[in-house]
Amino acid sequence: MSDQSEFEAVLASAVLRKRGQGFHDFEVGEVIHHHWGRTITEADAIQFAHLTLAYNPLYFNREYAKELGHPDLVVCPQLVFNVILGLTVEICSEGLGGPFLGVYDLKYLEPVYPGDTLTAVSKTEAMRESESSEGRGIITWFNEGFNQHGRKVIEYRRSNLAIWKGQIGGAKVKKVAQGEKADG
Amino acid sequence: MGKLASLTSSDNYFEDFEVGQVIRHARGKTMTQLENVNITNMVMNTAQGHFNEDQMSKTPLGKILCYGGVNFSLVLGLASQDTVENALAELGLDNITLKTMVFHGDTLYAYSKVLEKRDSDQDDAGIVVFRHFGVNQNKELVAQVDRTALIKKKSHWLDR
Repeated sequence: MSDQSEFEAVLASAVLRKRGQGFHDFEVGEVIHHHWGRTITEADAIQFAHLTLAYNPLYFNREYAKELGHPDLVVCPQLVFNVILGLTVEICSEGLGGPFLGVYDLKYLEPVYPGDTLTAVSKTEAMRESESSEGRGIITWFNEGFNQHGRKVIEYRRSNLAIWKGQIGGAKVKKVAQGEKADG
Repeated sequence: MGKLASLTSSDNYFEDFEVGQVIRHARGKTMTQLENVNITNMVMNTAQGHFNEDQMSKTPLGKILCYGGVNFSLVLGLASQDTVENALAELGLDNITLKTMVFHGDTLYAYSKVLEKRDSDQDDAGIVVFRHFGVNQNKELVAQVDRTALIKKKSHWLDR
C-alpha cells in the first residue's frame, strides 16, 4: 500500500476518540478524582506571576519570602487555582459546550511552594435545567486541590453552563470515589 | 538582603486603606496568545476553544475565546501592586463572575473598591476585602472578583 493510499484510508476509517462529558453523564453526590496531577516549578510560578502582573515580591523574590517565614518563594495563588481548575476541565467542562459562569467561596488554605505536586477532586453538588432556555442546564461542583502530603491547599465552588442539544460529550468516564468498588 | 520595607511601596499597608475607597489602576494589558494560550496550556485546561483557531473559525464566535480563568487572573494582577503588594497572604476569592467575552487583542484595565477592613488573629497584619472590576477597551465590565488578603501593618513592618 502506498503512503498516500494508506493515509487516505486512515482519514476515511479513523474513529473519533471523544473527550469530555455531557450534562446527563453527571450525578449529584458523585466524587471525581481527576487525571494527571501537576508539579509546580519555580519557572511556572514566576512566569505566571509576571504575565499577570501579580506584583507582590512573595511570588518572585525567595529572600523576601524567607524573611516572611516561608521556606521558598510562594506560588502565586491564582496559578494554584488555575492548575486545579485546569485538571478538572476534561471531565467537568470540556464537553458541556457552555462557558464557566462563576466561582464562589474560594479559600487558599495553605501556601504552595515550587516542587509541590497538586491533584484535584470534584464533587458534583447541584444540577438543574435552565428555566429560561430549553436544552440548557447549570452544574455546580465543589472543587478541592491537594498537595503531595494530602493536605488541602484550595477549595471553591464553580458553576458551568451546559448545552445538551447536539451534545458533544464523549464516552462515559468511570468516576470512582476513593475506597469504593471500581465496578460500582 | 537590604531593608525589607524598601522592596515594596509604603502607601499600601493595612492602615492606608479606607472602606469605600476606589482605586483606578495605572496599567492596562492587552490579552494575546502569550497570556491566553500560554497560561491555558500550562495549567492543562484542555478546552480547545481557547487554543484551536481552526475549530473556532467554524463557530459563530469565529475566533479563539480567551479562558475566563486567565481573564480574571489578569484583572487580579493589574490590581495587585496597589492592593496586595504588602499582603502576607491572599486568603480567598469570592463572587467571581465573567460578564463579557475576551478575545486576543482586547485590552483589560482594573478598578478596585475597598469593601471591608478588620483585625486578624495576629497583631502585625489585618484583613482587607477588595472588589476588583476588570474592564475592556470599550469600558465594558469583563470580570468581577472579591479578594480577601492579610495585609501587613505599618506599625510592625515599616521599620523592618
